[in-house]
Amino acid sequence: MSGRRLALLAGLPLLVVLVLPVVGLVAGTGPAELRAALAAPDTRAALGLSLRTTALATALLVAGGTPLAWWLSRGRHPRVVAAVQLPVVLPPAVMGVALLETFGRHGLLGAPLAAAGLSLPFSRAAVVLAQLVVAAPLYVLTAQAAFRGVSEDALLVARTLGRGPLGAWTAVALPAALPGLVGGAALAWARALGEFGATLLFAGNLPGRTRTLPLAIYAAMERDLAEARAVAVLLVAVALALLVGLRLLATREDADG
Amino acid sequence: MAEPALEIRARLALGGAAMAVDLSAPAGPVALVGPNGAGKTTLLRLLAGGLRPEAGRVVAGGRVLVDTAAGTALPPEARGVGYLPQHHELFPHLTALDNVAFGVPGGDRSARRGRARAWLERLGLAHLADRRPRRLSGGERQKVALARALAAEPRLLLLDEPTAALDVTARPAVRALLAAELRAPGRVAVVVTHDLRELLAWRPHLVLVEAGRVVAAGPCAELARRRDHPFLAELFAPLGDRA
Repeated sequence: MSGRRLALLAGLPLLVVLVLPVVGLVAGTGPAELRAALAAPDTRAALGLSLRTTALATALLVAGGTPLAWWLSRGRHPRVVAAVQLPVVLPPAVMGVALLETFGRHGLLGAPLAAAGLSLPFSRAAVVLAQLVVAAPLYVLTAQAAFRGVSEDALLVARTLGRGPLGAWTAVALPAALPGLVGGAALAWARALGEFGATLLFAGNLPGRTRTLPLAIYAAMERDLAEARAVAVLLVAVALALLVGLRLLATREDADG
Repeated sequence: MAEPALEIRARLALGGAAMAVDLSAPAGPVALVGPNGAGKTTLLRLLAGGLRPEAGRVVAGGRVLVDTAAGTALPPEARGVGYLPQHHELFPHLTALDNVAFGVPGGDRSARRGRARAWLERLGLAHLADRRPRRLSGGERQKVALARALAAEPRLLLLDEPTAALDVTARPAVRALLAAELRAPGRVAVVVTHDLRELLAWRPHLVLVEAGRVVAAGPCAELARRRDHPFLAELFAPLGDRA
């Protein structure tokens, strides 16, 4: 037996454990159940909220994470990298408590926020913030790796050929790293879509206001397993569509020429 | 000696390693030779504007590129440089043609692409114009990057081992093309090479760099006769007593 086959054989059980639950979920849900769930106003509200908040969280993440990732890629900053990785190693529930202790009424920034007339906890802004924080490492670290592929000499060549610092960056660094940036954004978006723990603790589970799809599953579990299953399948479909769609976008960019 | 075409007097700090360069060369191509890590590529980057000296002055073709005492440093985009780096650094998202067209000066887009295509033709690459770098061989990439540097019609041409990735049959044509390009009017050309045929064909002002310093410099024919320096002796050994 070849080494490659042996590796696949050894990894197969893990692959099965990863894929089987999704198969079980989808197989156990009939189209009628799915239609009923989609027709329910609660589910629609949760779906709409999830799509809007995750789109905003991803957009904010790309806007702030791209320059941060570029800066990280240009040098060695192990402590900053560790800080960015923090949400990966901390449980989302811990992030939720931490957000509350920072932006809550009695939190670190509670007084100045209150003075400005802002109250974050249990609001839609809190939903977005929780998603942003837990998804950030996926985008920033992927983007950093993509930017690492852009050498100083490539930028220097672009500069010598007439581009200023920003011009060289937009003409060379950004397009060269784009497939990686798109991939990172897709991962981050999917993670934001699935965000549960931090949202529950920091934003609550208020129907129509902060109840995203994962929280809708949680709420439905208390009433009716079939409904929870249907919403879960819906979430799988949205996440898959997102991943596949963005991947297609990235590879189409990459395939020609 | 007439006014030197290239003058570098600079002290550089490179994260621990230090360089102190004192170099003066007459008009005509300049070839940098020396062991790995001696600082040849660093000198090219200094000329291109990719790094600044701690202190010093760099003059090329009568233009002051850097003068730390006067507080002046031309940015890379104002130096009129054509730079072929060691690892080619083609832009991965652009076709070969658009890589070459990237730095073609003046004109509209189609005029620039027309001139880029002419450069690809001169290097025998016209059939690869629409390929991305990922689908080019190492030698093809090097030629495209060379075309990109030349198409910029640079006043300062900087080539880091321009034929290192080419197979021996592809070298003579590039060698002949560069023999003319290195001596283009109004141009200062600095090339890193250890190819003896190139040195003999281009007859450059030779500069030997070792451990961040210029340790020998002069006309190529003169340095080829020197047997007192181990690096030069080895470089020119194939010439035997003909040198």
